[in-house]
Amino acid sequence: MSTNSDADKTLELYETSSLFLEMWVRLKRNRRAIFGLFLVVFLILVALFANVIAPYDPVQIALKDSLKEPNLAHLMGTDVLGRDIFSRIIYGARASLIIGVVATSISVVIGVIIGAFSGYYGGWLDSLMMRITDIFSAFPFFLLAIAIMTFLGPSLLNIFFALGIVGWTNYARLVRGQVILVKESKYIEAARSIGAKDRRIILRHILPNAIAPVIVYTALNIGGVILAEAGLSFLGLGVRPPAPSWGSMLAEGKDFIFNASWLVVWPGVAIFLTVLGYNLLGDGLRNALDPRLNLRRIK
Amino acid sequence: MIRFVIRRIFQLIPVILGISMLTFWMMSFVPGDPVALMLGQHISPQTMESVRQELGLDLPFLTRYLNYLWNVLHGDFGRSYIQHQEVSQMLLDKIPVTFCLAVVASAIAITFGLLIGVLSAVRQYSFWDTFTTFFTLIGLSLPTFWLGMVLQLVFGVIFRILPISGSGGEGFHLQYYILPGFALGFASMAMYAGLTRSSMLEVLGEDYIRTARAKGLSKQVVVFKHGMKNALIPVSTHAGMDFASLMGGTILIETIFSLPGIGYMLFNAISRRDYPVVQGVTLFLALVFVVINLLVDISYAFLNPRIRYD
Amino acid sequence: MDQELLLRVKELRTNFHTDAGVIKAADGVNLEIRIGETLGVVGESGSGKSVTAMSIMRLIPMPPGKIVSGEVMFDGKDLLKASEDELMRIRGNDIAMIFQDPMTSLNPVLTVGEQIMEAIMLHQKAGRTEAKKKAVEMLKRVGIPEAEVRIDNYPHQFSGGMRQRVMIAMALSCNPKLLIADEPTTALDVTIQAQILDLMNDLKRESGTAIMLITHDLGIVAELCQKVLVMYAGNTVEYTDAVSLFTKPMHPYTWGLLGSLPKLDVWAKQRLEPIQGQPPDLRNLPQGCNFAQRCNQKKPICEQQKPTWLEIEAGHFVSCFLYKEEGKRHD
Repeated sequence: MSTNSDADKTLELYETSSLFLEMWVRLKRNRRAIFGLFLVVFLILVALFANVIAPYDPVQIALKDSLKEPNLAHLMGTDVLGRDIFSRIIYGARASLIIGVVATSISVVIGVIIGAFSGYYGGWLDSLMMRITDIFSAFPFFLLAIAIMTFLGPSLLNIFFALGIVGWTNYARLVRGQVILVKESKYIEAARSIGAKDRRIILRHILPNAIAPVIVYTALNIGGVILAEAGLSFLGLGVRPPAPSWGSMLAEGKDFIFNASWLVVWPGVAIFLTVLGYNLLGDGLRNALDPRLNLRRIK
Repeated sequence: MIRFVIRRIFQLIPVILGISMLTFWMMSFVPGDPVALMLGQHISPQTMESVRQELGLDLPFLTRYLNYLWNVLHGDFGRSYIQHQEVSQMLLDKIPVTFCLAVVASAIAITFGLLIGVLSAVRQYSFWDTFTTFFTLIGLSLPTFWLGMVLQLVFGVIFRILPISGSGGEGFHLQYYILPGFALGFASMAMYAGLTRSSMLEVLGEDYIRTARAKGLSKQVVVFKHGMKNALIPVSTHAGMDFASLMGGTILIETIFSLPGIGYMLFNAISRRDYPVVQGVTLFLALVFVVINLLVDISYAFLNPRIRYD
Repeated sequence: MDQELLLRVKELRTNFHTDAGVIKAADGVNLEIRIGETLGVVGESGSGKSVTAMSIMRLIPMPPGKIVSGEVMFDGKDLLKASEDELMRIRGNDIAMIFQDPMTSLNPVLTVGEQIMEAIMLHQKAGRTEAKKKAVEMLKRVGIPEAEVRIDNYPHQFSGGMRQRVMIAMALSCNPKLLIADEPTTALDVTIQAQILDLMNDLKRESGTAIMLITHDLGIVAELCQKVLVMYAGNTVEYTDAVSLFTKPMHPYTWGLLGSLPKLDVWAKQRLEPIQGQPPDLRNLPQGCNFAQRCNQKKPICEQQKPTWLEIEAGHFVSCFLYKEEGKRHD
């Protein structure tokens, strides 16, 4: 495939690695984004080393320790079953991280495939795909997740599915828009004129250009997914007890709010800091990407 | 303009069909036999069979869907397994509470969101501006229902000036809606503040703002008459999306504040596995959302003369 | 003092503070406009023409801009010392402005009628009906057909030339003493350009409004202006009446400008062409004359001192050491 090297040369301007380098350089200057990155990395480490950090078994019931106020033995107190809140928060990071990452990945894969094909081929395929996208986005995000979870029943796999299936529409629209934008540009014409195949054009030339906005959106979206997971668990539609999840911890603490406020304070703080981390990072990435986006718009 | 509205309404038909098909399809995932769920365990197979036929459950999928659609179009959203009541009737009873909650939340979100956004745009780089940026990020990261609980804690223990639970019985009692409305609207308020700020900043750099200033108009007139409407155009496109999060939030907020609205009803239906109610509420809220989006689009066209006269 | 004098700008300096440094966008601007007179302001882009106009109106966005020093005497009042309230009474009323791009200079969400009427209602204390009548009349005067209907249209329903007519109607609606026109025809088609300039000239003759016309086009200057101001890198380098500018230009930069014309036919329409070399970086201006690097008449002093603004002949100001090297002493 010697002809393709020419097409690749035309692509050099849009080399993705330089794009990421540029983004990183700009991101480093943004103090808020770095704080967000710090929070996210911290959360990942906590989730990975939960068994090392946590002082207690998060599901170990000790009724004699029921509803202990925060103290030196139990930094964040204990719940009604005497379980250590601190340990449960640490293990809860695992659930929230896994669900955030897996559900978002499902959305990304579905959305990118549908968006890329829809945008590249256009015509009836595009119309059909976009109508399906319209239907899915006609449901309020959280409501559809609730409905799916109710009918499928609570389980980790179903959460992945429910949150993944409700989130792909924005990716599809985003990628489709980018693909249409890139498709019309000069260097794709060049690639096509020297006989590059569709699959190659999509994979080598179009998707790399669409990927930066997808990354930005993903960072912002994971926060939303984690919030939704907490909401589902709060309604009893999420992670099954006794496995610790911040949302279900809030649900359990709800009835004790006035006599044991630590039950609702800490899980909320954990959710808040996690989502804040992703939002700060996503916001920073978006700002870091923006000059590039503007450049494209002018062209 | 009228043609634009009609075209938008026609575009809704496939969406509404798709929504109803999806909600109908959900029912087939119910674990176990729906008739058994409906009638309980100790029923003879003959009765089960006759009920099944009566309900048309033995018909092919497409026929059953068309029947369902027909019923929905006549306002029949099914019957509750548990309360043995029409879902549509239950919805009608609960709508006022949810409607009031949504209105209070939106009013808080829009009023304060726009105000904070405009102020920070006009005073760029000031304390206000920094505050708004942080406020926006915090608002979008706070779990709605946790904020609700914290408000309950604060107002139930420390301030005790606003009721923290219930709807106050018959009729509309504003004080019961303030805390839940604030909790529900907080994220939207942050979103509106952030969007209005960036949109207003962009607008204030436009040439026509310079023209307006060159006319001798005061800064207030320039910002509110020449800037506001232009700044609201991009903000308004997010109103639909925002309403979706509001609707998703009602179930959590109504549950926490024991407000007897649609969300609370949905929560109860979920915990009792009352599938037809979940199905009916989902369909109903999706339809409401579709209508709201239509209204948002029309108001967008109304704000933007370039679309209106297309 | 000259009774006819409407506007006198002395040693105006305006800076812009950016991350990359302080841009001296206007760095010693001097000019005069008499009642009913048209002054053409010419110079390359970035020479400070628009910044001067915006500084006179006190519409420099602050921050990042800042008017550092100088004097803008308009009708006996220093606008740089005027309060915001006083300025609001002057803007749109005594001094009106039209801009380069009529596509973006009108508010897309308000009808053109509303945009004309608001100035009339504000400055002339007119009611809505009266203002509307006046607005229709103005639209008719600038040659917009079916003005009674068009007044309720939005800007996007007008062509570029028509929009600029609307801008002119808006600017002249309060009978200003001075109209600042910042490249009013640059964004328009050539045929439309001529129409708009003719219109401005006619309106000016009827109303006696003085015009400060910022342009790239020496042909336009020759056609419309009584006085000309040449600017270079934030400085005013030459000011005189139009005839002597073309027949007896004094500043080497002006020679360069005129030299780029195919022949010294003053009526020839010709865009300015750049002279050899680049204008200096406005963040890092030379110690001496800003034009020294590109000047073919350069003397040693040109790189050491800034030339002063001197009246070499009656009404002919130049800022150049060719004429009075020791100029400073006479000040």
